[in-house]
Amino acid sequence: MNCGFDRELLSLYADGVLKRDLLLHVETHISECQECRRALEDMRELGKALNSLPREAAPHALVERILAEAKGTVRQTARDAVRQTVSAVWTVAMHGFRIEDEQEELVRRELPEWVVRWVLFV
Amino acid sequence: MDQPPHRVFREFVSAHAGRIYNHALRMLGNREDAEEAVQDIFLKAHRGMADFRGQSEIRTWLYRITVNTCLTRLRRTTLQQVHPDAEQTKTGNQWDTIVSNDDSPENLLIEKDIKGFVIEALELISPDDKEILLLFHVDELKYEEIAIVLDVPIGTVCARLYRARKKLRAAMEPLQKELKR
Repeated sequence: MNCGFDRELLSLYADGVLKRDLLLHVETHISECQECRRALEDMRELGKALNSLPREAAPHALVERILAEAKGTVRQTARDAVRQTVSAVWTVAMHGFRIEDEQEELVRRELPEWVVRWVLFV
Repeated sequence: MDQPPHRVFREFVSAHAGRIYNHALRMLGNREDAEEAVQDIFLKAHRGMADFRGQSEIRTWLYRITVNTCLTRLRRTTLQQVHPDAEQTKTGNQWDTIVSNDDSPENLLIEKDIKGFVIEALELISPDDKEILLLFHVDELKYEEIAIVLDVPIGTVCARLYRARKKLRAAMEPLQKELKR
């Protein structure tokens, strides 16, 4: 059986997100409707059960792996930047070409301003 | 822009790893996948931190990466695995450590049953429904934050959360009936 009351509204009431006028509207209804009171209790019970599901600590080894990987990425990026710069300088010195867009982006991102000016002639 | 200093990143990982790991574990259903996903999530965050301009809370931003990573992984794999806890509920070993405010034997039993059913039923609903339930009830994100994480209007969050709860309830019913038999 369903009294026809908007259950989505009841669900918002259970979550405590209703504004005052709607809150009063729901409270008035549930004070008179046993079926909705039960439904509300059920929603709260479900929410409580979900909220208290068991949790585990993140494995320490996982955290260390993430940190090591991130450190490695930084080092690799720096190494790549130096490698790209040397390659860019060499290209410019030998052929007088502008370097590739991809290299330019990396040089701009990773290197000090004076090196960027020197490499890119800007 | 520069990468975040290692110390800052370490603090960031320490502060959020637990919640993100548990979210991934619930979504993906096994520790191995969850660990891979969490590693992926934090490395994406590490790369993206330089571009993070603070348009949203860092927590919301991290959950956005988490949701996308988990859902992408789930879509990629057709292998359905049961969450390790779902197995444990059958023997009940983990629930014994959880104590409610009212710890009368009847109440403990009811609570234990409901949680067991919830865990099993979570595996039966769609990843999208599970996702929104976890974000609200387990990760305790507000409606506004969920709207940012899922990139949907708040009205959609209300409707989806209501629908997800209904589906979870419906998935629990046959399990509860089976127990009563």
